[in-house]
Amino acid sequence: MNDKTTLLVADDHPIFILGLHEVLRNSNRYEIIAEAEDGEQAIKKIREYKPDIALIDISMPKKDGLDVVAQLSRWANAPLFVLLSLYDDEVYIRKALAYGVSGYILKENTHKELLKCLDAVRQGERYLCTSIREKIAVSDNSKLKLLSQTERQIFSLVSNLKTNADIANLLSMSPRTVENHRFHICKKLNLHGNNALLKYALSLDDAN
Amino acid sequence: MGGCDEVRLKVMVLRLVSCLLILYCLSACQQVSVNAPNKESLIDSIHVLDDAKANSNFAEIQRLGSTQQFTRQEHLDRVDIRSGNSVIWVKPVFSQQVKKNKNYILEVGRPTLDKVSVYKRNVDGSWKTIKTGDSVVFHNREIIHEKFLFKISGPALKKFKNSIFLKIQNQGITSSTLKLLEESEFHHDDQQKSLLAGLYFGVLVALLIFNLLIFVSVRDVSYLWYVGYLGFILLFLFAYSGLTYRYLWPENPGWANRSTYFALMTSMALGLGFTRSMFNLTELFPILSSFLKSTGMAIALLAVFGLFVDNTFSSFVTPYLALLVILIILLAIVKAVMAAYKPAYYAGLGFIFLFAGSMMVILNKVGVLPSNVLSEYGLHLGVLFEAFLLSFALAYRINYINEELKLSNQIVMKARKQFSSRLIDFQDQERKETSATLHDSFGQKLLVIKIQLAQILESYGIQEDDSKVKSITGLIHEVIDDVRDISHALHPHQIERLTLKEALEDVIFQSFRDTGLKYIYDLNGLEECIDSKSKLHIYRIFQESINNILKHSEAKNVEFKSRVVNQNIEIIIKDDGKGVVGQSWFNNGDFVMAHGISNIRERVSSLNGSIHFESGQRAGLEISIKLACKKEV
Repeated sequence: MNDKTTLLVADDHPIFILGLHEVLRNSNRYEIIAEAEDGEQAIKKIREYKPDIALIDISMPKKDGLDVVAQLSRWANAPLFVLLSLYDDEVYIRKALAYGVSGYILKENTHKELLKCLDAVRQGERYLCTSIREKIAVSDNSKLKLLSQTERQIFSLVSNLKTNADIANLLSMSPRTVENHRFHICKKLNLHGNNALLKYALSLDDAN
Repeated sequence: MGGCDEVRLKVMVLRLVSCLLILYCLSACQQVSVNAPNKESLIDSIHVLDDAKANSNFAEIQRLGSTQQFTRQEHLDRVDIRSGNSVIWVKPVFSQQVKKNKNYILEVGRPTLDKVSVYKRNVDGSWKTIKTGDSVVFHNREIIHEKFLFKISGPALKKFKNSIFLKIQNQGITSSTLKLLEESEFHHDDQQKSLLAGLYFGVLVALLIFNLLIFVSVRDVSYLWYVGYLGFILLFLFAYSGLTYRYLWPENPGWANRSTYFALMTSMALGLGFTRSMFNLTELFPILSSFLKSTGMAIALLAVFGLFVDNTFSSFVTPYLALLVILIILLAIVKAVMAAYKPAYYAGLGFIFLFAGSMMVILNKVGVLPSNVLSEYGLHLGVLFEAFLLSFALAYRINYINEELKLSNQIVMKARKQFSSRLIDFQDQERKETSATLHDSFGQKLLVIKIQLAQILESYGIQEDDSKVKSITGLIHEVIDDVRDISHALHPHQIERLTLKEALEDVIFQSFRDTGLKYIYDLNGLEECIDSKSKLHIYRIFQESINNILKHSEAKNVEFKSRVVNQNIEIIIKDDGKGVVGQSWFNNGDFVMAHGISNIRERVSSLNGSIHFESGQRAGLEISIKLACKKEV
């Protein structure tokens, strides 16, 4: 009946939601079908209205945006999540990515990038706004700077989904040495747990 | 704390000495009292004539003596002197046991009588008169002694009837003992008594000096009151025993009496002062305290006044004043004991000993109690016990004050800690609110302004690339950034959204990422041990330490560790920088202020934790913090 993409907006500042209406008014592709003022309301309304995309602020009373995403991410009818926030902290962005959000936009870039983001997300892509992309890249670079030449080589091979045996062959070293290098890389990047290195390498690729 | 031990030691020594002294006194008393009953009085009866007009001459008295005008007294050993200005003539009648071949001594025991004259008949029948008394120069005495002593020859006593007459004049009401003793026996007894008296006064003077020395070391004014009080009581006893006249001013007749009253009244005034200071009345009962103060001052004035007027005045007011002082002091004791002021127990007991002793002596004087060691020396014993008990009380009081001081110090420390912890919490809360306001109100409104501006520009067809538009939107952008930065500086919003571990790892990473400094961290146990209230403190401690490392340390490597050990969490922040020079660096105000160490300390103290710094020249700085786990592990 309605071929417009349905949206739910959760923000504790009515004035900002008003602004969003303004931005989306000129587009006929999207329709805001529900609004929420806090995290708990957001969860309730998402379950009720089942929107295609949920635009969620991070800083909200009762439950913040990250919690909302975390709670609903395993739900079968979960919408695509786009976080809208004033915060440009890397730690939030990484966390959001880990929860599987589809987009992250700084509020100050809303009018410029919201539609772009929504379009991309609708297509099943992941979208981070420009300034965040830059920020993450800088941070990743500085992290990778900690690695030695060999370690960086191994890191990039890991991100290309090579196994230890492959890497050992390619760099003509013993699998045990590769193992050792991976251990040091993990230590330098402060990664813990199984496959943490692989996950991190993939998330970098994703973000960039 | 050394002073406290010192006082404790002194108290122990004092206790030991006093126990020995009490033992000695008891054994000495026993000796005296064992000897006493063996002696049968050599006086059969005492006959008294009250010459109210004081105009009879001796010849007349002699005549009256033989015509039974004298009235026979009830007591055998005491003469009551009841009238103010009259002359009392005493005619003792001696027992048949008086031996012809022995010499005797007649003792008038009250040394403060104004005039005592003896008329005694020699063997040849002639009369000899010896005039003595407090108002007569001391060396007029037949025998140099503080009591009035007269040589009586046994042969004369045997030969003549009515061979001894005593003429006593005294202002004020009193009584005196009258004894006839064999000369050798008297000397033996007297030696014993002076030994005892010497010991008695010696011990009390030693106690006085001892307490004076304690005053010098502890500077508690109660000791000074005690020394003054005890000093004047001693002077009183000394005068009362006639010793002042014998030893201190033998050339000043009349002073024995005056000094007795003066010393007694002054000791009362000082006793009140002592009570005030000792029982802490100024704090406990201000009204009673000021009453004591004014009474004490009035008594002191009366004491001085008494020196310049007729002695009748002092002898009249002293008993009433004594009664008043006793009542006041008893009241103070009762009140202090009721207020559970512990040092009052000893002091109260001391005063009660004194009062009991004095009561015995007074009751003996008015004829209610028979003469015995207690009733004759009650005052002396009372003073002795009192002196020791009050000295105990003083020492105990110092201990008590020390304990109180320790306790109140603890309370103050606790309150200070609570206050500073509350101050930090309050500050944190305030900042959090300000931060939220900045973020929610300013930030959001600026955003809306920016968005709406963009839409207006769009509707007017103005391109965003326009330089003027760019400068305006750029400015808004900058303001938004500033608001975000200030808001974050005021309160790290991460704390609310991330686990403490995540937040700390973020702050470590963000702080060091472009510095070239190598860092490792291994943070464990934070979620288990740190509750949500304490998160911010830990976060700020990390921020502060990182700040120090970046600004001051010149370190190349940094290490952050946390782990749970025995229900405690240990946090270690270690760098390999230049360290902190000097041993007493943590007392150095500049360092503490400049490096925010005081802030870290306060936060740790607010978390009831302990903090330890370890550093040396070029050895880096290691901060280790230990906190009790807030949650169950």
